[in-house]
Amino acid sequence: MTLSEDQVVRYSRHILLSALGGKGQERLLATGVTLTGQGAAQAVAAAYLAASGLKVSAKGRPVAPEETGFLLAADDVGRPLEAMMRAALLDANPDALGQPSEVGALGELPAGFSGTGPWVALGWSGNRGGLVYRGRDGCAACFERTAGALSNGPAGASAVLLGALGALAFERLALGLSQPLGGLWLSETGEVEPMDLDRCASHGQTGR
Amino acid sequence: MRPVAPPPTDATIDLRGQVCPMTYVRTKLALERLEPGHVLEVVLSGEEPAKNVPRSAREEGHEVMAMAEAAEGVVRLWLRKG
Ligand SMILES: [Zn+2]
Repeated sequence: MTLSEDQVVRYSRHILLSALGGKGQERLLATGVTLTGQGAAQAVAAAYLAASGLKVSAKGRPVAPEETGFLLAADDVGRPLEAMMRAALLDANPDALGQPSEVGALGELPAGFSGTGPWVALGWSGNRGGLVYRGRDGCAACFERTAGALSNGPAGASAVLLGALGALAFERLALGLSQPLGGLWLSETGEVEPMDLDRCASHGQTGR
Repeated sequence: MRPVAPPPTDATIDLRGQVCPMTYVRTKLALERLEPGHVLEVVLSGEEPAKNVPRSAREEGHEVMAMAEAAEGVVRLWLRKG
């Protein structure tokens, strides 16, 4: 796949990044993300991923009120998410529609995760935001145990930041720039700290 | 600028009339298509691109082999992919 002239212009800032370049941008354009949860942070992540040219898809359920403001509008609440997303993406970045060569999942918890692409879970523990990420070589059981400590939570300024971090974590995994498994806490004041992983039986208990 | 014998090139891009940062965006894409050690010739116009493109190329680990003035305000630049 080669970037079109429109894409060279649209993603010029990505191409200039040393870690990305044209090859990295092509990789992002070939990666898909399915939105598997619901919430403000997930909606923000979807907007960032679509702007970066990843293929974004969503499952059929109504649009929730907290999901508006980025790609989706207040008028979309209660309407089918899948159709509303398609219309919004066509408008925002048509590159975000179409068939990817690999699909991962991003979900604000509770959410399910599948696919050979990156997995990113977003959630909350009290007022603290958390994100857990897993690439192809990361353990799915460790991912699920760690993400299991998080639940759905508040919408607001920290949801925007958590969504942006989630999108970045997803892109770094897609580009092979990241550890295969990890987690981050986001404090109310915006500080980011590493999260101890809750290891599965075969990987032994560490941290905590 | 002293005249230089142009090195043998593997590819050439003509970026006359293009402005920064698109000049380096296109240079970078052309370099990505080459094998390491291969030579890209870039034709540029204007002072900014003539200053910025070699600097960015160096920063990303490519070798600036030579630069020559081809015509009024036009420079030719040879980069070896790092
Ligand atoms: Zn494990």
